[in-house]
Amino acid sequence: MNFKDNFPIMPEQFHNALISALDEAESLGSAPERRVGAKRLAAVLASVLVVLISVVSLSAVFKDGQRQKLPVSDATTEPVPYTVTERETTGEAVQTTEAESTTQEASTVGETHQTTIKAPPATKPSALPVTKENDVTTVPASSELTVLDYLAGSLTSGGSSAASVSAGVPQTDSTQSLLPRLLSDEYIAVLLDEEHSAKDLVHSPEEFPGVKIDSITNVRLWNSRPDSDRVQQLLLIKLSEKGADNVAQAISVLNSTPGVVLALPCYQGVETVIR
Amino acid sequence: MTKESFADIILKNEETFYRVSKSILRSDTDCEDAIHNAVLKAFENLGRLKREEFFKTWFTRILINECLKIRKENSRYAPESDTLEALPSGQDGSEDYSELYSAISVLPEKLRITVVLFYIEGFRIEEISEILKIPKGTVKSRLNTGRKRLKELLEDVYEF
Repeated sequence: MNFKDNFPIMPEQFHNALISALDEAESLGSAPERRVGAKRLAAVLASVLVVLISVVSLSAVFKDGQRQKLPVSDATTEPVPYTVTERETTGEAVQTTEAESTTQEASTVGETHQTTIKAPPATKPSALPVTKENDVTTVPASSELTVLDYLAGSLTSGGSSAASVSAGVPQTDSTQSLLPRLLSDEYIAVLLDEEHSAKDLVHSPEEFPGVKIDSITNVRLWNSRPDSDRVQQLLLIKLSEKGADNVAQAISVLNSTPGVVLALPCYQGVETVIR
Repeated sequence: MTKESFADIILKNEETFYRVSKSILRSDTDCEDAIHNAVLKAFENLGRLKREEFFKTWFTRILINECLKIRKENSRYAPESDTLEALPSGQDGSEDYSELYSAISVLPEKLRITVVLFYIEGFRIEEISEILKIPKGTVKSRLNTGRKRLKELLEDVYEF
């Protein structure tokens, strides 16, 4: 049985329509050649474009043969508990005066204020507006990124307690094996008390035996009391000599220095952020 | 492919193309429009045909697309059902359709096209998969379902 016989027989009109279409096609000219070249060219161009994009992306990440240090952002993703001061900060920038910068014997080193405060809101690493004043650089308190974020991140990521910080070197436990790679080997964040300013440290380098300081940057004025115009300064100290041992030594010394509330190593990448 | 070989292959398979278009469109006039459009479109896009031996499969796909396009346009004015069941014997008074064709016409379109391509026109499952752009497994399941439906429809006529 031929199934085709069950279908209607092709009418003559269908054949005529077919012939008519073929004639019309013939009038269009010769049959087009297969367009292999255009397709291949498009594929090659697409490949080249992908390679170019990859190269540009990589060159943005790597510079001078080294991977660019990127700011660590996980330390600022949520409010971070840390022990710095008793009151919540306002973040208002208040310019210090000479009167407020008088040196006192009051030392807060070793004091552990257990009040937990909120870290500044989540930030994105971006260029900071920096205003230089002589040797001291002031960053408006409204800046999105502060070293305090790194400071807070150092505390939590390092797993160090206030007690261990005051002893000098942040303690790390076995679960924080990545920490040594995350910490900078030349930058230290220092939070001063209300009675001291960066100038006190600058003017008395002899107070830091065994520590060679390259520069001190005042990255933020920290008003810890809403009802007071007194501020604390948050400093970023750059050591002259790199190295984890130098950082540990410097932190030990700084944490024993009058006026220093807390000194901690910064994350790698902080130098990129403040530039 | 030259114009001559293009025309030769189409004329050689014109009955197949008629049956394929007839499995989708009810009207012979619509079938003529479909084949006309398909020939022109195929000629214009002949450069895209990779190998000449695939011409029949390739052209069948173009033809089916043209048929579906015409059917869609027609349905704007007169909603058309999924089946060709309005094809009783002696539809236009001049010809009688066989029981088998009438049963095939009642099948849903997806099953109908698949059954026609496989059982009537002898396309292989791989070719049908290529023509309809569906997986081979789907072709097989449609054939299976189509067979069952045809059996149900024809068991009064034939003894299975």
